[in-house]
Amino acid sequence: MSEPAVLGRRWRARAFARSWPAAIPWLVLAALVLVALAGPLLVSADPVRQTNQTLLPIGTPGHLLGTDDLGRDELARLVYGARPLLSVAFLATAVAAVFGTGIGLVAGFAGGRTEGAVMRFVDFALAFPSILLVILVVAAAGPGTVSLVSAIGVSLAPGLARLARALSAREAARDYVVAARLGGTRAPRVMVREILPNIAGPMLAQVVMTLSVAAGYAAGLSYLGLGIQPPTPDWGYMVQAGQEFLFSAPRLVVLPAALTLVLVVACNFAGDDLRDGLV
Amino acid sequence: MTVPLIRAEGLRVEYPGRSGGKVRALRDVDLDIFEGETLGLVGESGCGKSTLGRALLRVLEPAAGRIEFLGLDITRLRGRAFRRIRADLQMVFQDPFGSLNPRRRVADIVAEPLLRARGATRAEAAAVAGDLLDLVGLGGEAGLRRPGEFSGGQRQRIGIARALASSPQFVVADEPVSALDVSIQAQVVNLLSDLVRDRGLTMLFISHDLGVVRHIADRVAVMYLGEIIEIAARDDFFAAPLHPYSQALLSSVPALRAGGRRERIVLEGDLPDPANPPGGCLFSTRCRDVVERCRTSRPELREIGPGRSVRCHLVKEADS
Repeated sequence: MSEPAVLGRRWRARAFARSWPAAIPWLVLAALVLVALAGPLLVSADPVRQTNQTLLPIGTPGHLLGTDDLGRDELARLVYGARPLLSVAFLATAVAAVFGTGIGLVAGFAGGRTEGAVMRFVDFALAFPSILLVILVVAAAGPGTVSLVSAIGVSLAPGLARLARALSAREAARDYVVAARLGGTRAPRVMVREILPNIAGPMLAQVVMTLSVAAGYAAGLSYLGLGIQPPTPDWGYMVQAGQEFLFSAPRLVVLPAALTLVLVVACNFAGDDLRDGLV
Repeated sequence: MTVPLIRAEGLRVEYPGRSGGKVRALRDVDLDIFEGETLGLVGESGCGKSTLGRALLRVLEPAAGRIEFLGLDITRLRGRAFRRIRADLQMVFQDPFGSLNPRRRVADIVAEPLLRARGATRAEAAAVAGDLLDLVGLGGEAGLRRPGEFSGGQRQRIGIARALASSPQFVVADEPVSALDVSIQAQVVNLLSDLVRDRGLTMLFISHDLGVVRHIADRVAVMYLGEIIEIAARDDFFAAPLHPYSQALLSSVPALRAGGRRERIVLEGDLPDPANPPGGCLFSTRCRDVVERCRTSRPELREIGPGRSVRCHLVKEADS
């Protein structure tokens, strides 16, 4: 997911060749994903085992980033904490991308009353404060990866649906779509084979941007205690737990918060890079 | 006469207007197109030429009227019954860029109608697509590339290959060369006319270029503001157009010989707003021969001689 593989070789080359700073967000994302995937191989300490060596400072031998208030290795917690946040963010974005693109594609292609009805519904969903929706869903269904992913995914789908509708309607009006219909190609196939490849570029850029919002939601919910449940480490929850020691051991708040920020910003710049590559 | 291949009766197409009203782009058009002929459809921009072509292929849904294909009413045909004749009605588009999907290989673009409308197997379709690309002068290996790698003229050849892929009986060519350089236009027109003749196709050739129409068409129909105002055999039409608008249109073509005998008729004013057409004859606001009757009574398209019809009060049958 670190590189826009679906765009093919020429795209990727263009994205990187344009200027080397454009590669930075991709490298950062790649590094974060790598840490999330290979975390257990990178650190030997157990992120959940409590010891009586609490609040050791940075640079302690054996505990490079010290320990938290329960004597758990901070580095191990940060490394293991990448996985729940990234997996919720990626899966929720995937859900949003599939539903949003699907709904918008059909609405834009169909036009007329179908489009009107679908898009009024999307507008309604968009008008509803999504963080509230997510909190409601998670509070009702209980915390857990499935409810987090579906709640965040559903709340982010309308934004993608609107873009997909606009792009799809524009493509649907072009003559190659008329030609496909004249050639006897049926509507579902026209949408998937003719229109979808032509809206995939801008959609992907927006999806990567959406990834940053999903990561923000996931971290926020976890901060509120609605995310992955302790003792599993998670950046959002770590910020909340470290608040108590904000002045005595600021690293317990600053490090997970900074990593979350880096993830969100990298997603935004990566999305920007994809969008720039479109023109 | 025999049953026409395509017949339009009272065909009406309306677009939603700016102020919520409806703009009538086609005003109850009657038209017969006979098997094997090429009918040239001319008129200025916005007169409804393309709308007529697209309505005949059911790309646009008419608000009223009917379309017959070999005597079969296809106006409301749907589903499987419509797909069966879909392959017989094809189109070559004006825009060489928008009409080819930039993300698909040329061979797939040309093979698609065979696969979908004729139910050919992949191997059959690929073979036919290769042959067609050869036939239009691009060579079979062009199929491996994407439309972006071709020039405008080459793209129109691809469009022609696609239109012929499903072995249609009727092809609408909607200004197929007007987006091309003049030096390329002749090649593409000749290719199209050769293919249409060799395969015995019937074609509606839409153009605003009378020179091209004279070259390719057997009959000529002139449109003005959504109406057909004159239909005639090509030679009759170019020898003596009868409708004052046709005369003006023809006189605007530069003569090849110096000191040509034709007088140049310059039309006054602009095309009227189709949302708010003039009363009486639609051309009465710009016609130089206009008389009082033209402003009050709407002329019908009258047959004034064998195969020759004009929509004008002033043309007498004796004139033909």
